[in-house]
Amino acid sequence: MEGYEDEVKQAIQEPNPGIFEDTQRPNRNSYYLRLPRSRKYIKVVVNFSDESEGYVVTAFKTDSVKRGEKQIWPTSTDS
Amino acid sequence: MADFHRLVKTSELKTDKLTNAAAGNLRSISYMSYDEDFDALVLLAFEPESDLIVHYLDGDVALLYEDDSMQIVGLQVENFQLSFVPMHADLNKTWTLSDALGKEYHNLGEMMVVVERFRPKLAQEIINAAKDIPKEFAALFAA
Repeated sequence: MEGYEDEVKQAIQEPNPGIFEDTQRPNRNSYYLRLPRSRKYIKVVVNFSDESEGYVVTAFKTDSVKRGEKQIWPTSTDS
Repeated sequence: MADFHRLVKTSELKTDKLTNAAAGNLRSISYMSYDEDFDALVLLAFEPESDLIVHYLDGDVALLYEDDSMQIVGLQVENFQLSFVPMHADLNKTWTLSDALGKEYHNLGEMMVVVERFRPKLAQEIINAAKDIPKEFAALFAA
């Protein structure tokens, strides 16, 4: 994601529409950020070794949230 | 979630490049790469001319298209080793290669060197296994 470093950071810090748990790997979350004036998101995939530490596996542009991913933040109780 | 926050419909994507290449009117490439950390396999039929966008279909299979032209140029399969390969018997056999070559491979890097020889067959089986992708892919990667 050369040239999109700021957006990748922003996706992790201020995800919108949110954070989603991977369909098959509970230690993997996806952070989505809607890009302004665009029909795209930045998706940042993060693996967690424990609850507090993780690393970015990959990041790319997509035009949807992946089917089956479960939204974990924000949830209806967060609003 | 009903709409998966989808911003672009599949019907908006263009297949002219694939169609032209399948008809022999446009040169294509056959590029394959596997990201071990992400566990994703990427097949590209063309060198992308702008940013690649991932367009999820059902499950772990996604089309890759050029941001500027919206032309489909490739395919991405996520959770490739974890779930996609085991679900498809023929693909599993080719990917493992141990049956065909009588040798166990200790890492994917070593295996990918050998898998180069099997790439057309592997690509064909991936395309056969993936649903809802343009049929032109099969012609391009089988060549």
